[in-house]
Amino acid sequence: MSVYEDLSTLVQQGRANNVKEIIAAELEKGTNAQDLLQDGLLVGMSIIGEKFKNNQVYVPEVLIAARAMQAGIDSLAGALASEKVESKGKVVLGTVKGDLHDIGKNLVKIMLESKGLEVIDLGVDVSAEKFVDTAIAEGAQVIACSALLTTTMAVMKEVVDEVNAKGVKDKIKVMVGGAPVTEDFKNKIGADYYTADASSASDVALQICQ
Amino acid sequence: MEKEPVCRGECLFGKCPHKRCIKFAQRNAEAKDLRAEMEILTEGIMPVLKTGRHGFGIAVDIGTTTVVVYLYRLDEAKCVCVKSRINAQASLGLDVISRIKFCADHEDGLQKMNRAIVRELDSLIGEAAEETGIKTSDVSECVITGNTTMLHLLAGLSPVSMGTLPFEPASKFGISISAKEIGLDLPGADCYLTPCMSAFVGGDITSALLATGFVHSDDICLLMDIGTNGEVAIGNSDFILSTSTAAGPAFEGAQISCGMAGVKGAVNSVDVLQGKLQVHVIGGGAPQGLCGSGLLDAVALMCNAGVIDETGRIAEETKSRYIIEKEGEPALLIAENVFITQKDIRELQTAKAAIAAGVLSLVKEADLEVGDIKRVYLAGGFGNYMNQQSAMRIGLLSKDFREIISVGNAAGAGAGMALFDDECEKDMKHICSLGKHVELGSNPYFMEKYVECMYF
Repeated sequence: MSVYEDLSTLVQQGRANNVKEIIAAELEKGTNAQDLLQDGLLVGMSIIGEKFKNNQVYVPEVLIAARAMQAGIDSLAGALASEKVESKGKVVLGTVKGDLHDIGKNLVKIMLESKGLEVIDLGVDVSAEKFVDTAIAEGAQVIACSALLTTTMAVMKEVVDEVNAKGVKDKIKVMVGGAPVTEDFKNKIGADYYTADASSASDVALQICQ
Repeated sequence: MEKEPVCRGECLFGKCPHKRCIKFAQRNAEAKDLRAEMEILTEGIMPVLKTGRHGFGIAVDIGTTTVVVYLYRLDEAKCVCVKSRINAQASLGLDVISRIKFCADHEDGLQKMNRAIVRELDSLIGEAAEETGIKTSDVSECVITGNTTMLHLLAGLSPVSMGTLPFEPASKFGISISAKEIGLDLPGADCYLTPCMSAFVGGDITSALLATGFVHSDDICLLMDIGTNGEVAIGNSDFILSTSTAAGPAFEGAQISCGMAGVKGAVNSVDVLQGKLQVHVIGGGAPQGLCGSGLLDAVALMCNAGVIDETGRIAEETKSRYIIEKEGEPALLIAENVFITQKDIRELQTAKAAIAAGVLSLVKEADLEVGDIKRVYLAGGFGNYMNQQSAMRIGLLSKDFREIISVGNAAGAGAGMALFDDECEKDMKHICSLGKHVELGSNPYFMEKYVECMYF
């Protein structure tokens, strides 16, 4: 097995320490940090994402794998900083105003990052203005909003309205998700994309950015 | 073999693809058969009732799903009639949040909700009075309990502010309103609405705490009401911490492939005998689906057998004979045409983790260990019917719990107690003033435990 396959497997198994060891050894040997990230760590994480989508693994495994991936990225940080890293795109992410549930949102963040996307996480209870102003200031291509309560879903429409009002509809796409959200709801409020799970969300976000 | 698909109530009313839609039947007054099949848990622990009053009293427990009316003879301290029914508001929204949303979205939403429950109570009270041979004017005392939203809807107060941060109720009750003002046909009675601790820990929990004697206990006690929303309270005479945790409807059989309510035809328990699965079907006959307690048993057994591994994955490599394929995915066959998919197991993992992590968060907030809890009271229908061993096996209940007591409809029992003794109202107010709400959303300790508790 190549070192990239090793890294991928270790990320899937959530073995942070082994990931760190291998990366340290490879950097010593002069292996390209970008390759270790793209072909090793991120491949492992996207396999986990795919399995999560198919119910083969669940939230704990995703989080453990994400921890291993993060440990790997931290080890690579020094080497990556000296190389030119090109972000594949920028996403502004948050749970909408009035709502403070963030487990699903955090999973989406992990999956987005595993696709090499840059994520600006605004946390919970985020107003429509804050979503849109941040996206404009940061030059993000995607706003991804999450809600768990049917009573707070309506804020997603405010985000869509705000994007239209600020005249950035062509530049910024609005993605919606969360337990009560559906394709119908997305159509009703005029958002751009709905996805049912975190893994699909990252696929769609990547497509938008490319 | 083809068979009629079983209704799991996933439709909107009247648009159900199933011939025998549960929800439609609930709304349809003609469909008495289904209503009779669904057993509503009305019994609860009944502490000693104080005598000395005369006439009759009505205690009411308004649950999100079911409504129970108890008619008491005050002089004999005896419950003489119990009437229960599916909450008529269910046709306007199944859970608390969707009823709040209904009120926010429709101008006359609150009015519709209010009218539905007032009419239903009047009809239940009328039935009870008729059956007992008394007049409604003979009723001199009335105590009504329910969760915070249900009490708002009854009192005609808008619940909309409880739908978003900071989740503030318009009233926390603990007040008497004349029956006339509510619109109930009880000319001789004022209605006491039990006090609530917060938007999501309501008067039903307060009266359940009253019935279990929390505030008079030196020992640390835990009350768990397991349902779509799991309410949990820990404490004793010195302190009470409470919270509410969104478990989702898996325990009620909703969002489960073969899930159904605990009605006729549901598998409500699964056992293993000489290596074979034995299912018990409510009302006998062929199994139509699984209700919450059946699902719990089945998953616990499969975990024991190693067919479900500790991460919740169906372990195909065990080549167990229970493993079948459904639409290309592995599933577990429990009885003829009754199976559990991988997704169902995930739903159950999420639900039980929310409750278990809620308990751990309260224990930590109280600076205690699980082992410090002397008694655990399980309130509500699901807590009463489930197998405690199975619940421990899958991690819904902690293995470190010592004494576990099923208290049934403790909220209704507490309301009954309050008919007899004015001290009870003081006790309930005291419970609420002691009570401190612990918010779990965005609570890092809860998150950590929530993920850990997903394992079996």
